[in-house]
Amino acid sequence: MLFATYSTGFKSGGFNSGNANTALGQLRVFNPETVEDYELGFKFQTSDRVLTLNATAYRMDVSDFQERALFGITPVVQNVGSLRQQGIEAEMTLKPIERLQLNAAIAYLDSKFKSYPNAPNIPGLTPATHDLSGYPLTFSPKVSGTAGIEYSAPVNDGLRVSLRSDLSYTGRHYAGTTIDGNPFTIQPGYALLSARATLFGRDDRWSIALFGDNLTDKRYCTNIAVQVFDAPLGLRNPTTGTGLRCFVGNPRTLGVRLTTSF
Amino acid sequence: MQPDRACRNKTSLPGQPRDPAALFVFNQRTSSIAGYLQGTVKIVPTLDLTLGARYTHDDKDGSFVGRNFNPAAASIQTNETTQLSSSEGRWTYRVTSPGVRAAT
Repeated sequence: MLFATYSTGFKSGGFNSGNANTALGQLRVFNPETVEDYELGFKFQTSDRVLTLNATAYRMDVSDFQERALFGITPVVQNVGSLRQQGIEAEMTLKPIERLQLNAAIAYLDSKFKSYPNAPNIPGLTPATHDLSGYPLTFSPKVSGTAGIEYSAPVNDGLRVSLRSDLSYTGRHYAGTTIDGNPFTIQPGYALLSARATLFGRDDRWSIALFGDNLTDKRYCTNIAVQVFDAPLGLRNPTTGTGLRCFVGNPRTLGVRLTTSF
Repeated sequence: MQPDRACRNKTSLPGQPRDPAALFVFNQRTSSIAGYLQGTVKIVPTLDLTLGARYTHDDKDGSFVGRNFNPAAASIQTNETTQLSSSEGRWTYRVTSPGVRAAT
């Protein structure tokens, strides 16, 4: 099945309510962000349901983009520039035999500020603004994807066992909580591996699972924030600018999970 | 509560704990109204087209009042009184072909 969609949308405007050490005045008011979205895609499934394949190509043109900027010590939402997000997303599920399921999804994203001439510079560097036209939006990796495999089989007395493993990949992206083009907020691409083995009771009334997340113990930043008061704290570097704070993703986590339904 | 009165009360009521070094009061009132219309037309026997439109109107107003009572807190709060208001009405649209069926 083929489908095509054109839609428009907006995010409401609003007010910035944070405390500030310089009066923000009408900087506290921000306007709506509007978007035009074009999508073209298909959904396909073989009649025996062995293979399902879906794909969508899209393009979003965003105007008056609502950016989260840091104004001194105050996070504020501001309307800035115009942004284009376009890409292709595809997902596939394959069930070659009843007990085995493979799934995979991949996303390609081409993210770009078409115009963002007066973006705030990295705190601590001059001039106060710089041109981020052509830069991607934060948290917009070019490539990301997931792949999983699950084997599920009945055992005696109505019990069922399931073995599953998932791999996810997130490509290189800006992970800053504010958009300033700081090269030190680039998170390199990383992959996370997880696995679990589950034993289900009769009619799935209970289950016991052994699970492991981030099995390769990958270190990565879920987001990277500018350290407020970095200068008085002595964390400001004259050449690289502000001090940064990395929020580290969960390390390798192993556990047992028991569930039951009454 | 009026934000200015809230700030004054904090500093003038007897028997209260010591004044705060700084405080701010933000309030906001929102009224929102929206309507939606959708229809499907058959272009050719194998192709439907769904058209939708929505109108949303938002009125927001509020105020931000910040007060600094202690110079030591100047790095986190300055005196500010700002009246805030925004009013916006918008149409949004959606045009979609739910499916192109293969001719049989």
